[in-house]
Order: sequence, then structure tokens, then C-alpha cells
Amino acid sequence: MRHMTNYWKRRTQGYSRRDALRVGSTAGVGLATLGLIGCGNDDDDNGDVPDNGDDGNRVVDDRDIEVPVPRDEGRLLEMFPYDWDEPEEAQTGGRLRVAATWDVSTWDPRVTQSGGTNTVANIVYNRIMKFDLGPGYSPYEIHIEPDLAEGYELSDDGLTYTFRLHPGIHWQDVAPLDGRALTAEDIMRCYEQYGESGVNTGIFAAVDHMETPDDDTLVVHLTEPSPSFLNEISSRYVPIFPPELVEDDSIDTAAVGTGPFILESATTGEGVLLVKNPDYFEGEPYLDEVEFLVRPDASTRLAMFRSDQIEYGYGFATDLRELDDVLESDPDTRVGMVQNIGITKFSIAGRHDDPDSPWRDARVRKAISRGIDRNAVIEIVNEGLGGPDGCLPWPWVMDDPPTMDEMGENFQYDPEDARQLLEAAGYEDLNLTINFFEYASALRTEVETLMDQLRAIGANLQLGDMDYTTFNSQWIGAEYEELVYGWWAFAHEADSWAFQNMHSESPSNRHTIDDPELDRLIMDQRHELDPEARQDILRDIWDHFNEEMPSVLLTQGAVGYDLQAPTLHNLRFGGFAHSFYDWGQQLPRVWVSQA
Amino acid sequence: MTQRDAVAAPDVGFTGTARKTPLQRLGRLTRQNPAGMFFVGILVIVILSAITADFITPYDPQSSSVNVLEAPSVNHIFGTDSVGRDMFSRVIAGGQVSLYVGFLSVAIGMVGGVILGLASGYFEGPFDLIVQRVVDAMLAIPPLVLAMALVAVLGPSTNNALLVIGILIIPSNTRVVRSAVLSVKQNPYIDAAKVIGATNVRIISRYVLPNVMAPVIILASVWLGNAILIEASLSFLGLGTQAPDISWGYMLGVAGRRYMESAPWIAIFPGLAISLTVLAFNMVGDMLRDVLDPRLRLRG
Amino acid sequence: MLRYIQRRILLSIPALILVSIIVFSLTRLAPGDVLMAQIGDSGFVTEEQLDEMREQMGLNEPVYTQFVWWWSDILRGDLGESLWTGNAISSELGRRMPVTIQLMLMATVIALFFGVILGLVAAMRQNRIEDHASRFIAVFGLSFPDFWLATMLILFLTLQVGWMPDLTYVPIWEDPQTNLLQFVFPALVIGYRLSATTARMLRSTMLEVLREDYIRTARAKGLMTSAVIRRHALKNSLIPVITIIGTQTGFLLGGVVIMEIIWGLPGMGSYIYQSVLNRDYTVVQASVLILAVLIIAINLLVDISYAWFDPRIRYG
Repeated sequence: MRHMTNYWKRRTQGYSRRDALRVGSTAGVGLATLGLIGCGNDDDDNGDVPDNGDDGNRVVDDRDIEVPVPRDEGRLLEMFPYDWDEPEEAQTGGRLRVAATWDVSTWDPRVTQSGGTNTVANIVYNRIMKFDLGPGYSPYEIHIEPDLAEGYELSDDGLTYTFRLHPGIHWQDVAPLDGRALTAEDIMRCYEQYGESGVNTGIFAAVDHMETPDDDTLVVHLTEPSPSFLNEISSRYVPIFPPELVEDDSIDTAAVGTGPFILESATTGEGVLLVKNPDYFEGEPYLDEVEFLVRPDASTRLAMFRSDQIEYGYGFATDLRELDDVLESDPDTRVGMVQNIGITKFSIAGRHDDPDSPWRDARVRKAISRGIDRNAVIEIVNEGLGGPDGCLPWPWVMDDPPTMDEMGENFQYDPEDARQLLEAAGYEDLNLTINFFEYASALRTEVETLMDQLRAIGANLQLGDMDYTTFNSQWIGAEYEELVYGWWAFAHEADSWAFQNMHSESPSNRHTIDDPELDRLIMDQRHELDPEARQDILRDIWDHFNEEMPSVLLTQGAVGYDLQAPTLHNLRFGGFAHSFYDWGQQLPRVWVSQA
Repeated sequence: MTQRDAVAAPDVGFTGTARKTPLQRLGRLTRQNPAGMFFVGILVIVILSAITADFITPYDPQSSSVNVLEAPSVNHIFGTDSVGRDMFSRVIAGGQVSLYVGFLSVAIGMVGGVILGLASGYFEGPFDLIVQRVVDAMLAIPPLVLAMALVAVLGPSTNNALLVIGILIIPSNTRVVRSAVLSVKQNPYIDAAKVIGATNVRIISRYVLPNVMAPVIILASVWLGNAILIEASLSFLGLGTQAPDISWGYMLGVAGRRYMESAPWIAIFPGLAISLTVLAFNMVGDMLRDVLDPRLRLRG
Repeated sequence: MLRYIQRRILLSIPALILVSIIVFSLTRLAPGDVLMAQIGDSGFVTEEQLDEMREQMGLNEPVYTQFVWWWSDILRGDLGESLWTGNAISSELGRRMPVTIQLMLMATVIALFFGVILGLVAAMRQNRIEDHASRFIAVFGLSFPDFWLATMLILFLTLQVGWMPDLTYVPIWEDPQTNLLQFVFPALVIGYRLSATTARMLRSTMLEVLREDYIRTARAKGLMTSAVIRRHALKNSLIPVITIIGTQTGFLLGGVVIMEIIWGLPGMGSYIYQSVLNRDYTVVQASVLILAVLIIAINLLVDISYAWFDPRIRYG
């Protein structure tokens, strides 16, 4: 097995990383398990659904909740370890400069989950509980930890959450808050706002009512048990903003929170400057300033990184080859690279609700699925790093990443069979337009590969390449004409994931899936309080989906990488549920060494 | 180019050159302007290879393989791209789309410009006034911005790209043709024709049109190159040709730029194809200007 | 002359109204709206929620109502607010205009400098090797997509030189040196293209002027060639060159859009590009209107400068 150092020795001996990978594949590591190899976490009880202890209520305060994700000891972590060593002594002061893919937008977290809003809102504001990440954490587990709340209690019936706030938290000393104390009522009013309108109402759909017995306690009553509620309110989507900004209607252009950094200035097309909050309740951050520079062009970001104009950059081509170039010229660069499970998940969706749509015919969907050589796609797009993709992120369903064989016959490449299925369905020559937006250039490589493979079975796809807004306008309301290379809405728990994406009643079921069996299974797992039984139902969902292919699942190969200057410390991204927009939790610990 | 070109544009055209056989003229041109003929030769090769692309490409330009980003070799003389497709075949096939976009968009622009310019300049009056205000407005919007907005409406595709580029060409051509028509109209033979009762159609087709063809042909040759470049710029902004169509601009702006360092061949060859073709169009345009502009020709 | 200017200004009014109609209809015909860009990759939204948000933004009003409102605001000097950020557009443009104007000016200066040199050499040494060489250099500049040239330049700087100008914009009044280094490369890319046009134009007009009777007379009188060039030929040949520069403003701005994106300059070009993608109607409308005024004004100035350069031209 190779380690980072060995790898670099190889490089200096004239091997390219590509050669190293090839060596790896011949050394007996199976193709399908290359992306994520798990040795398995045997501790199945460690579920995210609270098991009811004898004492009735359970107090959770520290790293107690973990999604059963196996420790990743796969090749990616070896070559690009998530957990590289950091110096013990941190230096204070200085500025961290980041090149961002997003632009300054509204700061109102109710109306959008877009990158700029997400990033800035999560630094300026806190959440009630949080997912943490960074050195010392496994990127493939979800850790729910205290944030504004010290911990919470969940009642026996799973219907009442009681949160106790961390004492002595104050809003930032910026008008109109001017450093007043945070109260439980602030949080309640904020959650009421989220529940009323905007893009996060779904998260609060299960809330019956809330109350604040005192200034430090928030009680949330649910209408039915919701396995996903705690995960969702701990996510980056619903940070806690003060009522004052809603009252004076300034929440779209101002952000004053409880967080580690204060929003100093924001300029469209240029960037955002944040300065440290000296009174931050978890302690003063190391950095004086954090600056996000808006640079939409990937080659510009790369040039800035290479000329030391930024310490951190992300969102380069999702491409391993490009990495070679960078490491060639800047060998000191730290590469943070882990597989993004769930965050970037694409499949071929078609219309189930249009009576004339060929997509309603299961034979057509199966033909498309069997006409795709997924192993070749993985090889072409990700140099062999990757595996088949299921309808749920696999860590919620099984212990080890699935192999191609385990996925059933619809995942096996069989062009002859595919052609016959198409013929049987009466579509010897199938011409369809597939909507596409290039979120990352590797997606274009993938979709072009798919188009070529499908051409061979008589399914001719025309790429309907669109700008972001056009794509969204047809995608968000599920108003696309024929097919779409569409993403799956990210959710932080299996229940919300399954319901949002696959239930026929969900407003974000953009794949227009309408399968009574799936609907039934989704409701069953929601009401199943026993974790093992619930996981079995999730497995049924998984198998049923693979059999019916309401949306043609592809591969899980997308790998995100970021580049870090050697002077930057304690910052990590990627993995399960952590996107490049999750900054707030880590920033207080991040520091930059000064020359 | 815009209306101001007409100041320098010739107002007398194609008369009195044809006393030799075409072959003799070709020979003379080659002697006079060997560089120009060299570029004509390049254009001929580019156009022929585009026409016969389906027969001369060694591989299917769409066919993916796991041999991605291979450097140029005997098997793939231009290397392979990120999807494992043969770059040589793609460059040849790309010429098909690029030239198609170039020629058709210029045709739209020229026909539109000539019709509007002729009508506007010949009849003048309120029609002229309206056309000229619309032209004013179109010229007052930066072309790339107009193209962005139009593509946002129509959606990016090869045909929409060429339509949009054609629309961009129309207003400035209208201007050029209109001023040429206005100056032709001042010639006594137009009045004479009117006196003897020639119809407007006859006057336009017999006297006016031939006299404005010279600047139109010169402009067309310049626009051909420009149209290919504009398509490339649109591709860079994600607004040009779409897969499975391939244009040089798509190869360069969408895929090539990304691999300029690790696999320069997938950017270099389409880039060379664009530059060489545009260069050839421009050089040939220059030559046409020399040939068609009588004042320059007379200098001896 | 004054009457001519008045007439031109009067004629530009319908043009500007047409510009705004074109922009108004194109932006609204494009699929999607700012909400679709803004809610991003969000999971959970219903049609009712979207409609409610549109209502708040005034996007549910009929287009002609929006058009009339918008114009009445413009006439009162109010450019409105960005739908995307909620910020005043006027302050945004106040920040971005200088960037774009500086880039255009620098590109124009570079274009004139190289264009005049190349054009002069070509005309003076007509049909000789210098002529061919300078024509080739000029035409060469017209044959590259500018994004390609800019990317090559960036690669060259980062890999070969190991240095990049600071890609975080600094205004010229704060740090002239950094600022000029930021602008000089994009300006070179745009300027090279423009110099090609300039040189070609200068060459052909120069050749024409050199054949004019008064030049022959001047030569016959025994005036030195360089004096003839300076005093007579160059001055008269510059008219169409100025014209070309003026009428190229629109195309210049096209290059500016791409250069601003690649070099991270926060000017009008990248603003409009982003706003078209975001369907930020108010920003697109206001910026295109301002650019249209700029283009029309430059063209008017060019026409007026005709009279100044060439006393034979009189406007009635």
C-alpha cells in the first residue's frame, strides 16, 4: 500500500500519478472498490436514530451520534490524507484569502441555499447543533455536536426536543444588535421564519409548535417522529439569524450573528471581507481576517493559487489529471481530497408524468441503464476511482461500498440486451434531448461519454446545454421536456433524502418518480423506530430502485479536491455531507503561519 | 466594420476587368500575390476536408475510449481528448461545424444587410428612418452582450449560434450597403435610367446592386473569419455549439482550455485550425480588397 | 455644426428607447428568472413559495407596467436596485465603470500605438518585405480567439515567468503600479486585436492619400518625405482610423467582457455577463443603457472630430 510519501518518491523518480494508479490497479485492488474502501464499522448500534435507553430521556452532548459509516482506508485517503499532521502551536493574526466560485448574493438564508449565502451565513451565524469537520474527524461520518445549544434531550415518543443553550452567548457587537444577549426566543422566532416561507420550509414541516420556558431553553414539539429533524437543523442550511434583521428588512444585505467572524464588507464581483469577532463564545479566533475573492473562472483561481495570491482554492476541474500539473509546479501544496458522497450525485431522469414519454416504459429505462458501460465511465472520468451509485448514499444502507455486481443486472453493461429491450418497447431509434448544466467540467466528460455509449444501442441523445438559470427554471419545477442529467437534492439524513427525492408527494421529486411501492417503503422507514429494522427497509428501497430504475443511476466517482498553501492549517472539506460552503464550524480553529 | 467603412469603400465596382480567361487571371494573381494564393490554397484544403470529413476521418470523432488524453502518436496523430476521442478526426469534423456556422451566419448577415441597406438607401423616407433607428439601437448594444442575451432566449445550439451571429452582422452591413447605395444614386446614369422609364427593380438589380457588391464581398470575407471567432467566444462563455456537434470553438473554449497544461494537444490543434482558417480568410479578404478596389488597383 | 449635433442627439433618443425595449424583451423572454438563479440547488421549494417571492420582487407585474415604471425611475435619475443583491445599481456602476473605462482606454492607446506604427510602415514600404511583415503581424492578431490568447498569457506568466499580476483589483488612485500591472495584460490582448484593424485601415487610407494630388504637389515642391507624411498624409489618414476606433467600441466591449472574466477585474463586462446569467433584469437594463449612451456619445464625438481633422468636411 502506498502512502503519501511513497507516492511523492515515485513522482520524483519520474512516475506520474497516473502510473502510480495503474500500478495500484494491477496490485490486486478490485476496480469497483477503488473509490471508497471500507473495512467496515461493526458498531451497528451507533445509529443516528436515538435508541431509547432505560432512563427515558437521553442527554447527548458530545460526539455521540454517528452515522454508521465505515472508516475510509481507501486509496484516496492514502494518497491524499484528510488527516495530515498539523503543528500543535497555532499562530494568531493574519489574513486567510480564499478564491470563491460564488458571487455576493442576498444574505437571507431563508430564500436560498446558494454558495455565497451559505458560506457567509455559516460564518456570521451559528446553528443550534452542528456537524463538525476538520482534522481529527472522519470525513465519512456525520458528527452532531453542540453549537449554540450545549446539548439536547429527546422524549421517549420521539416527539419532543429540548435544547439547552450555552450560557453567556451574545450577538456580535454590531448595529442593530450591539452585542445584546442571545435568548431562546431568538432561535424560536428564527425557526418560525424558516417554517413560514423560503426554501427550508420542508425542514420544519414536522414541527407542531415551539416554546421557551426560560431564556436558555427551547422546546420543539413535532407532529410525528422525524428521524431527520435533528440532522437537518444541524445542517448549514438553517443558521440562526436575529429577529431584528427581519424587522428592519435588512436581512438580505446585512448579516449580524453570534458567529466567529463579523461581516465587514461585501462587493459584488470582488469579494467578501470578514473580521474576527473578539467576543466569540467559543474563544477568540486565531485569524484576524478572512477574505473570499469572487473568481468564477477556474483557471484564474488556479493562477492565483500558484502565484501565492490565495491560501485556499477549491472548485477546480473535478479532475485528477489537473492535479498532476499543480503538484509538478508547486510540490508544497496540500491537497485535500475525499470522495463527496451524496453531495454531487447525478442520474438520468425522465418524465414519468407524461403519458407519451418513453420513460414510462421500464424497458426503455432498463435499456438505457444496460447500455451504459459504467466501468468505462469510471475509467474515463475518474481514472478508475469510483463505483456504482445507488439511490441513497450507501453509508445509510450498507457497511461497505457496493460493487458493480451487487447492484443487479441493470448495472451490467450489455449493449445487445439493451438494443433488444429498446426494440421490444418499439423504440428502435430513440431521439431525446437531455438537459445539462456544467456544474463541473468532469460532468461534461461523463455526459459526453454516456451519449457515445448510448448511441451504440440506438438511443441518440442531443445535449441540451443550458446556463444555470435556464437549467434551474426547468429543473426546480420539474418542467424539462424529455430527459435531464439531474442532481439529487442533498439531505442530511436518509429519511429526508428518500422523501425529498423519491416520494411522489414531494415537491422536490424532480425525477417525477411515482412508484407506490417506493412511497410505501419510504413511509415505513420513517415510522420504524428500530434502527436495524429501519436499515432493512432502506435496503429494500435501494433494491427496488435498482430493479425498476425510475431514474437511471450512474456512477459515484466525483471527487472534489481543494488546494491549500503550506502556510494554512486546520482546514478540511469534503466527505460525507460536508461541502465547500461549510466554513463556520472550522474557522475559529484555522490559522495561517506567518513568515 | 460599420458605416464609416463606406467612406473608404469603393463606389464603382466590377467593370472592365474581364478581358482574360479565368485561368490567365489566376496565373497573374499568383504571380502578383503569391502569399495570397497560398492562403487561398489553405482555404481550399480546409473547405475540402470539411466537406469530405465523413470519409477522411480515421476514427469516429464521437467514439469514446478509455485511452484518454494520449499524446500525439502514430495511431492518433493529434492525440486523444478527455473522453478518449481521436483529436485528428475531431479537428476535421470540427471544421465542418465551424465553417457551416461561418458561412451560414455570414450569408444571413449579408443577405439581411443587403436587402435592408438597399431598400433603406434607395427609397429613403420614413422606411429608411425607421430602419436606421433600429440599426442605431442594435449598434449601440455591445455585440457580445446582444449575443449573450439572444442565446439566453434561444438556448445554446449550433443553429442558434449561427443565427445570432448572423443577426449581429446585419446592422453594420445595412449601414455599409446603404451608404454605398446613396453614393451610387448620385451617378447620372441612375437619373438617366429613371428618365427612360426603368422600373425600380430594374434599376436596383441592373445598376445599384452590382455597384455595392464589391464592399459586400470584401466585408463578407472579413466576417467569415470573425464569425468563427465569435462562435469560439460564445463557446467559451458556454453559449455556442453543443454536443454531439463539435466546432473548433467548442473544442478550444470548453475542453481545451482546461487541459492546456497537461494535454496541450487538445487545445493546440483546434486552436491552430481556427487561427489558420481565420488568418486565411483575412488574407484572402485583403487580396480581394486589392483586386476589387479599383483605386488601389490603378496605382500600378 | 450645432444643429447637426442637436439632430444627432435627438435621433439618439428613439435609439435608446429601442435599446431598452430590446433588452427588456430579451431578458424576460429568456427562460427562468432571478429566483431560479438564486434559490440555487435548494432541495425543497413549492410553486406557491416561488410565486410569493416573485410577488415581493414585483416580477408578477405585466411587462409594460414594469417598462413604464423603469423608465420613469430612469428619468428621475434612479437606476434602481439589483434583484440579485438588493443593492443600488448606481453605486455598483460607479465602482465598475472606472474599471471598464480604464481597460478600454489602455487597450485603445496600445492599439493606436502599434496600429499607427504597423500601418505607417506598411504604407511607406508598400509591397516590400516590411509591408508584408507588418500586414502579417496585423492580420495575425485578428486570427486568435482572445480568451485563448489570454489563457496562454496566464500560463506563460505562471509557468515560465513564475509571476502573476495581483488578480485582486486595486484602483489606480490607491496603488498605480499594481493597478497598471493588472490592466496591462488584458489591455495588450484587446489592444493587439484592435491594432490590427487600425493598422489595416491606416495602410489603405494612407495609400489613397499618398496618391492625392495635393500630396503629389507637395512632393513636387520638393518637400521632404517625412514632412509630407507628418503634415499632410498622416493627419488625413487618421480620420478613418479614429472612426474605426470609435465604431469598434462595441466590439472592444466584447473583448472587455471576456478579459474581465479571465483577469478577475470587477468591471461592467463581467457584471453584465453575470447579470444575464442571473436574470438580474434591472442590472442588465441599466448597464446596457449606460453602455449604449457611451457608444452613441463616442460615435458622435468621432463624427465631430472629422470636421476638426478634415476641414473639407462640413456638417449642415
